[in-house]
Amino acid sequence: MKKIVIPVLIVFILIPIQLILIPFISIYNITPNVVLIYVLFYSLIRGQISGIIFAFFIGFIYDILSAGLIGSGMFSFTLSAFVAGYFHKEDFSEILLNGKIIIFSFMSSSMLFFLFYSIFGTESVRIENQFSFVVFAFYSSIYTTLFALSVYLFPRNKL
Amino acid sequence: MELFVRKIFKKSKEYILLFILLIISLIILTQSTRPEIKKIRRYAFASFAVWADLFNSTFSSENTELNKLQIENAKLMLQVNKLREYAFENYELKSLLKFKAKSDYNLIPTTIIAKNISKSQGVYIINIGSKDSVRKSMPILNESGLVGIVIETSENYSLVKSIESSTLKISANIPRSNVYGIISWSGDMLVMHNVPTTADINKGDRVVTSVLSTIFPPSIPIGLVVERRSNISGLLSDIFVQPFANVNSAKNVFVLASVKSSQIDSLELNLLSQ
Repeated sequence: MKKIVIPVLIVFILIPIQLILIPFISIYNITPNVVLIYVLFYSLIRGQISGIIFAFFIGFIYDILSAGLIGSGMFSFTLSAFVAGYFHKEDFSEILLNGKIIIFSFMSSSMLFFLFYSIFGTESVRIENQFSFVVFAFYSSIYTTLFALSVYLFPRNKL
Repeated sequence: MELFVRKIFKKSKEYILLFILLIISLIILTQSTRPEIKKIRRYAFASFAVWADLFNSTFSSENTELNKLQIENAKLMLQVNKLREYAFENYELKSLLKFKAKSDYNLIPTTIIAKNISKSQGVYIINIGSKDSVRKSMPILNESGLVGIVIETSENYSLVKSIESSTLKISANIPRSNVYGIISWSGDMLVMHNVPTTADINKGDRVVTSVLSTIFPPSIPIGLVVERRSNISGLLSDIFVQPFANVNSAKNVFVLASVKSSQIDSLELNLLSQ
């Protein structure tokens, strides 16, 4: 029970942070997504199946509270958690010791998240806009990955 | 056979689960405009907005003098724009008497308390609602120009769809050449699609809300023409517009409490709910 309640409570704190505080640090409309960071870490630690189920429900809460299109967050969070789950290892410290895994898993999964989340909010994606969606997803995933790397600022024994 | 199915399921249960969850998400996505879903969303955003407001008030300080100046600026901006329009009308030798004078704008100051920044889903929450006479479809602006439109209200909070949301379509006009069109967010810029290539439009032309819109009052500044791109046939072109208002950095905005006929109001609300 504790394993479910605490992560959900953490997400309820992260969503207001994402919607209220994070816009202050946006650079040219690009913001990191702290809820996504948490979901991806969850998937890295717990594996693909737990990760995608958790991401699916968090996506629903995110869609409802952020007033986005219901379903767009569910789809994007689930897909990105699935990709992150590929890099799951029983011993999480192994992942932490290998920064390349964090960078690669976060870049690929967050790129998918931002791409699908933006595309689902659009009624019609015109050919000339497709490239701009990819560019936006790329920069957002870089920003999110850099943010995720801040875990290295914590003392290693506390993680 | 059963063993084979079980083996397949065991081997690829992650993929099967992913497939099921993605299908459910897509089904929900297609149903997101249903009234029941909208109702859930309204209750959820109203309760979340209380949190957001609390959070927001902890991190920002009120400056009444600045707020007063911003209201004044927004009113002046609307008046200047009206005057520009009069000048064009005068130039075209239209009778000014036919134009109903309207200089008193009822602006309700408010603050954006939460933002959902995405490439295409620009939705904000503001801290006034139906109790402050805010209604669905009222325009939101700041001292630079149009910011968005109210799409949902609760007692104390309202949901705003910003102009940087690709699902918002605005009836717009380029007053210099009297060109009308529908403007929408493309992901990077506002675009007026399918304008005849022969239309006299130059870089730097102002774009404002048109008189044809029953949702937005006319002459609210939207942005400046920055580019014109012809399509393959060469008959029609897309006009790219840079918005005046920097929607993402907007914090203090105003609701333009426009009073309209109840008949028009009910018609446009029907259009919005579609």
